[in-house]
Amino acid sequence: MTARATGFDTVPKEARAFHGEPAGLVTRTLANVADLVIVAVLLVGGYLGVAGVLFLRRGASFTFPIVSYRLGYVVGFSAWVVYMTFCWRTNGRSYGDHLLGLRVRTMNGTDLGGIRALIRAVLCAFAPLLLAWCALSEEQRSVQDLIVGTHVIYDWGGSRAGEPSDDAVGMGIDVAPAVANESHDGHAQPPPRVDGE
Amino acid sequence: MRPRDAGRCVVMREPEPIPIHDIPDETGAGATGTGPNATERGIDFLAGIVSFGAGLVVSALDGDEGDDRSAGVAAFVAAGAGLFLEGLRAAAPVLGSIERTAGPTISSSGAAESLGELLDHWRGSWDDRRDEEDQRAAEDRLRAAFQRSVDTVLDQLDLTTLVLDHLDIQQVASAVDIQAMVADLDMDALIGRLDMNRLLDRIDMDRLLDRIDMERLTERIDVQALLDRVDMPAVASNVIDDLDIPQVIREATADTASEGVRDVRLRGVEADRAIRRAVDRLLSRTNGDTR
Repeated sequence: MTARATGFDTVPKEARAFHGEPAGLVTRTLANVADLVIVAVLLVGGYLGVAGVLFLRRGASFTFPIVSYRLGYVVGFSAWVVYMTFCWRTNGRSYGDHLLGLRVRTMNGTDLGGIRALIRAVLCAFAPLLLAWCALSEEQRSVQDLIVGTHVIYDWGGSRAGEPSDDAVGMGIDVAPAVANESHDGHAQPPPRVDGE
Repeated sequence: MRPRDAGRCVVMREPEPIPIHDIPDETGAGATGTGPNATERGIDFLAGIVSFGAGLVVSALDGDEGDDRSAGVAAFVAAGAGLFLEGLRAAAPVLGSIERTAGPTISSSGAAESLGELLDHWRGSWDDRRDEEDQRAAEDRLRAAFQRSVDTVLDQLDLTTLVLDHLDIQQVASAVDIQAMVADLDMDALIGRLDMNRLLDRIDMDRLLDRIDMERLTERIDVQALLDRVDMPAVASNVIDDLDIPQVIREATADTASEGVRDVRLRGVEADRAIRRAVDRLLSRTNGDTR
């Protein structure tokens, strides 16, 4: 099942100049920081949730649980890996990527599979500074990208004329067969250009 | 009468003519009493050949205008031909004497008559040919003179003014049955022979369009009547179906970002490009990316 391509270029006007090009160090770092904040918020929320359950069970003797450094690191590492793997596998981007208008794709332009997303998430969690390599790479790919065969591109949503939208695919909001702009006689017609390109 | 014959009746007889042979004239023309002899015919024949040849040479040389050398040669040829003719004329009596002397011998053999007949035949052929050439030359001269006369007359006439002043074109045009002429035309065949592509290639469409008053043209178009004939709901349905408006709306609203987020994104992209340019300069990398 795939999304149906439209005759319009639905990419936001200000992003059409660089839509689909490899993203650089700044946006990717900002996206990771946003994801880190989100994971931290999730962890804090989880901690508060556990503390609430303990408060309900212990009553007046409740004290906030003390988390050891080792446990916090393991839980945080695991939460990061699970979060990133889930996001990349389902939408091709995390919420930080969404905020910065980025998307992770394979070099073939397809969505990441589960294994590839998991390995990439583990590498990002284990050695996040390897991201800096994208500043030196001619293709703007980090070490993790080089290992798992991915790259990060600018994607503010929408699609080029005649191409299906990745957002529409990820959200499953349209499951029409890929017979874009097909006339009744069975011959595919080229989509009309409306943006002067 | 002698004296001893006096007293006798003597009858006088008619004197008998003295048998004297006809004396040929100086050129021997009346030797046989049958026309010019062989010598005269030969001399005339030679004179004709020389005259004809000299005439051809002189005409050819005179044709070269402004050529002094050709004029000199032509004069020399003409003088030579005249000298030769004078020589023939001077030699005619001598040749006539020789013929009269040796004529009987030659005549007895029949050679003179044969030579004379042959010369007469050749001369007759020459005369025929000359008559034809003379006639042809006369016709050419007449034709050229007529052509010059017509040209001269036409040069003196202003035919356009003449036709405009004396010809009632309106009356002539009214007498022409245009409908019949058009009806006789096979327009399909005529159009079929036209190469429309070549015709259109020769048309300057820009100039043609410049000459069209679009305002007047559009004023004459009854847009409402035109739209009344269009099945607008069907057209709109096809347009919406082709453009897939619902899909466009879904895509356009699938990733809605606030102005603040867009600003952050744009600044991030600019920062990426700045770092990229700095690294490229640092590594002396010229990949053609000028962003």
